[in-house]
Amino acid sequence: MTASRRLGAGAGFAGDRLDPAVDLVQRGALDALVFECLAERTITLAHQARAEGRGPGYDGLLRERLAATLPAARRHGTLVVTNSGAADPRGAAQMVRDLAVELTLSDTVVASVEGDDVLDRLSLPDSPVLGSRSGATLADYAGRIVGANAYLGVRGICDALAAGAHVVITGRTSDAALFLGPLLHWFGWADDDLDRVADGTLVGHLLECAGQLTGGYFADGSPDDVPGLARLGFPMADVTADGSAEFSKLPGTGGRLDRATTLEQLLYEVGDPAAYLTPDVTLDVTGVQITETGPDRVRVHGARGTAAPDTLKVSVGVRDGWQGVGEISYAGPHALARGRLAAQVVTERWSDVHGLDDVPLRADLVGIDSCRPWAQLPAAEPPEVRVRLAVRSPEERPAVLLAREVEALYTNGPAGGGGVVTSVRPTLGLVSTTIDRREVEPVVTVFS
Amino acid sequence: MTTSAVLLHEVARCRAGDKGDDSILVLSPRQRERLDLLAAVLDPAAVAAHFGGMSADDVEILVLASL
Repeated sequence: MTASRRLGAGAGFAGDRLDPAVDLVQRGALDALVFECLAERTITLAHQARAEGRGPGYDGLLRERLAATLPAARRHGTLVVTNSGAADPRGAAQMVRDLAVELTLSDTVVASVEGDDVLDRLSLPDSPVLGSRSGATLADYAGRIVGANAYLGVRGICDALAAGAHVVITGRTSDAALFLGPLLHWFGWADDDLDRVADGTLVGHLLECAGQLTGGYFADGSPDDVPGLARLGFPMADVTADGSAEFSKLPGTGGRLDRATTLEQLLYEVGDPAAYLTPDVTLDVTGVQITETGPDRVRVHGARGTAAPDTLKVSVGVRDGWQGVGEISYAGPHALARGRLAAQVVTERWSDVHGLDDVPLRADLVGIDSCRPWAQLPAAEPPEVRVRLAVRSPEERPAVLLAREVEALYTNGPAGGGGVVTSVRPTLGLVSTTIDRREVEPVVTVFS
Repeated sequence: MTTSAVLLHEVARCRAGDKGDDSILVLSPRQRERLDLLAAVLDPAAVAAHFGGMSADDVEILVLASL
């Protein structure tokens, strides 16, 4: 019988729940717990916060996550891997090392993986923006770039684990590599054993969104669709050296793990299922087999791999002006008509009083036409509507004016408006480019 | 021959995600034998029309019968 190793998904995004991870690390007999906490938007926000001195460049919840899980992880011999280092993996690793000492876990070895920050290596005019129909390059964003991070693969994580790390903290790394790293470390799979790397990448892909594999993002309104959704358990996978994997969740947790939830997650955000590009392998999932092997338990196998691309994707965060939003509610008879009138009043003043015709104003009636403006309206009068007005502008002033105009509807608009909420904030955008992978090397720093 | 209309959500589930500026919609039939029906009905023009008249040229459909 081939020994298996068990990986658990502790988070699927930066703001994910903490209690499922605590449950997993306490009861799951995990060999590794992975916190995937770094969307492209998240690392851009971290760059911006760090640059403005508004906080650390790493995930603000990292300390709380590790304080809640590290004692059990060390007790059970569970490795912890996370990309919560965001824009400052080294700072995050130092913080976690200090936390470990506070927790009287002084023998904890923490490692950071850097090398993903490639901003100073990019030639802006020679860096085409992926997907641009106008032929834009990063030079078109000069002066507005907040950060540029290449997607690292598994190598830095493997090096950190080989150095004895109990906790590995990365910045921009492919989500799947967070799971693949421990598998290569345990099983001795070679980087160029592409089918095994494909197997491990598939495991990572299925686990990286945590609760989305176990019934999160699945229920269609009935409590029966996903039992116990309020106590959704996060998934874990038992992986063997031949690359096969069985996915399950802890007994007593809510959720649902079957062929349907697995199939949806298998294809989630995969552009080309025959050639899903990662830094470690080009993954083909079209031959994957999903078999239900018990209640809330599936076996998955059949991934195939070919060589990874010669380039790495680089996620580039850019300052993108200002956004102003204002919302107000109307309820009771003629609520829809009053909501429309409110939007009309602000739209008219936007042009006639403020002369801002060149700054497009967006008006939505939430629940009526905000998500599907082309859909047919319901015949019945809605009991209430929420008006949402929004504007984006290179300058702050229109955003501020919009917020004021919505607030002024209280006493200057249709009858019975209430519940005004406004916000004015700078916005960040994302574009992507690529970099020759030979120009990117992971840098591992060990804290002990 | 008689025909009857069915609503799409009655025969298929959908999970939405994105990759860059592209939306990726995973449509999976609730019953495997409905796959051929979905593949026949949901051409780029039908999908584009559902989303308010976007261009069918912007819609790409992959049918993954093996899954």
